Amino acid sequence: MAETRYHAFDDPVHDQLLGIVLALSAEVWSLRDRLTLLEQALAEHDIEVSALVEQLAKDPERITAMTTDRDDFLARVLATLSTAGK
Amino acid sequence: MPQLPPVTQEHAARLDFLEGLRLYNYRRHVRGVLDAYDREVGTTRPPTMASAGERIKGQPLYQFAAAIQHHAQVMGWATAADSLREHADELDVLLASPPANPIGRLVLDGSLALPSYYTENDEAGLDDIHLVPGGYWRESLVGPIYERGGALYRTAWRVGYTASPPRALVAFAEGAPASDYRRILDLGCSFGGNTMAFRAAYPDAEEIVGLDLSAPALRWAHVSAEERGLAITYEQGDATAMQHEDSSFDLITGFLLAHEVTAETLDQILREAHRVLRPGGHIRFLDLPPYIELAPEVAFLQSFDNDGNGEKFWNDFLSSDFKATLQRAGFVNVADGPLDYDEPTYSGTAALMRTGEFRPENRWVTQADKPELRDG
Repeated sequence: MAETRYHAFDDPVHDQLLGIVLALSAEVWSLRDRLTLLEQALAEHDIEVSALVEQLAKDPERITAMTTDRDDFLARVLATLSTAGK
Repeated sequence: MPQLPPVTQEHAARLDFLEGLRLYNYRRHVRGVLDAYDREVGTTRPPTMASAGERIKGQPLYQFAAAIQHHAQVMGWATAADSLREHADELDVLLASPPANPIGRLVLDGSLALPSYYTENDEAGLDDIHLVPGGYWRESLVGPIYERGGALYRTAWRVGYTASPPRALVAFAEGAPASDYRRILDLGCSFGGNTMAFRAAYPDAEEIVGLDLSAPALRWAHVSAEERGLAITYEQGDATAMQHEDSSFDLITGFLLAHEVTAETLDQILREAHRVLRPGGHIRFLDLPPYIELAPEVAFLQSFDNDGNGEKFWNDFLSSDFKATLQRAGFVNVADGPLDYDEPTYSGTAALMRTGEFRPENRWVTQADKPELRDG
C-alpha cells in the first residue's frame, strides 16, 4: 500500500500550491456567481446597480480609500512571506 | 432516489466550478498530453505501457492534469459533504427509518468484521477508495454524499447519480445470456445502481440480492430502490464467505468490484460465487478493460487512478488475466470484450481517460458459466 498521500509533482509542495490556487479559484467563481445574481436581483427591483458601480469606480475619494484597502489585502495575502528568510 | 436537500448558491457554484474544471482538464489538458506524445514519438510508438509512461510522466502538462484531477476529486467530495452536512439530521432520520411498507428488504449484520484491505488506508489517514473521506464504510452519510459527488465525477452533478442510470448499466444488465433468471446476486453492490439496473431488466425474477460490506451504502441503496419501486434485497455481507446456500442463484454479477479487491480476495470471491451459483448458471462482470487491450499511452493514462484516485488494487487487476482467474475458480466458457452500449455523451470511466470523446473501451464485460452437472 502507498506510504503517503498522492502527489503528481516531484515536490509535494507544488501539489499543495496548486490546491491553494484551485481552492481560491472555486471561491472566486462562487463570489462572481453570487455577485451576478445580486445584480440581477437588484435589477428586478429596478435598481440598475451595474451602471452605478461603473460610476463609483471612477470616484477619486473612493479610489484613495480602496488603495489603502488593497494594500492591507496584499499584506494579508502575502503575510507568510514576511517571515521568509528570518 | 430520495430527493437530496437543496444546495445553496455557494455550493452550487463550487460544484459548477469543479464540473467545469474536470471537463476542461479532460478536453484540453489530457488531449494536449496525448497530442504532445504523438508529436514526440511520431511513428516510433513505444511498445509498452511503461515505456509510453516514461515519455508522458515528465510532461509538465501531464503533471498539472494529474494534480488537477486529484484536487478536483478531493474538492468534489468535500463540497458534496459540506452541502449535505447542514441537513445531516434529516438525512440520518431518512436512512434510519426505512419505508413503512417496503417491497424489498434491508438486511444488515452489525457483527460483520470488515476486512483490512477495505479499511486500512482510511484508518492510516491515507488516500482511501476514490478519495472519499472515511471510505465507503465510516461516514453515515456516504450514500447522499456519493449521490451528489458521484454525479459530479460523471460531470452531471445537477442530474444526480442514480437518477440517471448510465446506459452502460442498462445495456450490461439486459445483455446477460438468458432472460428467465429467477435469482440474481450482485456482488459488491455499494449504492445499488447495478442491482437496480438488473431489477429493471428482470422484473419477473423472484429475488435480486445486492451484497456489500458497507451498511451506510446499503441503507442508501435500499431507500433509493424503494423510492423507484424496485424490489431488491440489500444485504450486508462479505462476498468471500456468504451465508447463501450452494447453487442458489442463476446469475451472479459485479460492477466495478473486481478492481477494488486484492488478487487473493478476488480468488476467494470467485470460489464463493462458484459455490452459490447453480450448475449452468452465469457470472458476468462489468469493469475496466485490461491494459493489454489498450494502446500503451492510453493504458498509462488509465493507470493514474491507482495512485491518483485511491484505487490501490487497480494496476494489479488491470495487469492480470481475469479470464484465467475465472477459469482457476472453475468457470468455463470464459469470454470478454467491450460492452456494446449507446451513450455518445458519456465520456468514460477512468479519470484521465475522459478526453471528451466516446470511449467504448472503458466498459469491459467478462462473463463465464458454471459447468452443468454431468449425468450419472
